[in-house]
Amino acid sequence: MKLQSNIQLIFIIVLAGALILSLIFRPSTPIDTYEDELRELEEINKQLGVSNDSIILLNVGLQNELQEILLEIDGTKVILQQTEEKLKQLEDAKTEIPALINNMDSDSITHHLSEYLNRRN
Amino acid sequence: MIALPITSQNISTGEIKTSITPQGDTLIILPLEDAKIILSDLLQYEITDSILEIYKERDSLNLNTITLQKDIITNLSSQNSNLKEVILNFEQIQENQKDEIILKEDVIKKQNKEIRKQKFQKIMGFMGSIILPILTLVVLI
Repeated sequence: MKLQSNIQLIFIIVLAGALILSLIFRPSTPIDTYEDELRELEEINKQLGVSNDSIILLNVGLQNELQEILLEIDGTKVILQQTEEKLKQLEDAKTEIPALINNMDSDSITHHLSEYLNRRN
Repeated sequence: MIALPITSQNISTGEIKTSITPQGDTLIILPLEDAKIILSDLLQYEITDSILEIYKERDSLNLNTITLQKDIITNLSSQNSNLKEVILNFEQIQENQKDEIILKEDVIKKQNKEIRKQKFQKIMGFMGSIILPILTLVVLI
């Protein structure tokens, strides 16, 4: 009688243990690692990076063009400076003409008039 | 035309006379002061013509500079819009990376939970493998 009772007890304990273990060791739900989403985001980022590289390259080209334009402007400034100097010289010469001519004698006047007419012809 | 000798050289300022030499040359006679005025004006006009040419050249150079400066403005404007696009792209990349971080954090959280669970199962497994035989032995004895 006692033996039968012990066997029943063991059986119950074993069953309870199995139940607890089955609960503990039940298969876990798979973890979603979002691989597709992450791959998609990485792909988008890669494309954006490539786009940025192209734009930066484009800007480097524009910067080079800018340097060339600035050099051209500097060259033009030098020519403008020379032009200003020429203008100043001519303006000075123009101002000096009456005084120079006033000091000339008739021979010089005739000579200069002849020179002018030769240049004119 | 009859050749007339030069009769007089008494000419007042502003007055011009014509005379014909015995050789038949027509002479235009004017006072030296007037000749000086004419020469002065002629030379000044000549220089003025040169000045005008240089002004034209300067005008052309200035126009060229203005065109180049316009090019600079266009160039800088293009560079500016390109950089704006780069910034937008970087912002988009930043947003995407934030999303990536959120997703990865979620994965890490779930995996940590799973690791904790598996650690518990491992402990339970070891405990069961020790306690159950002992308990069975105790009950049987």
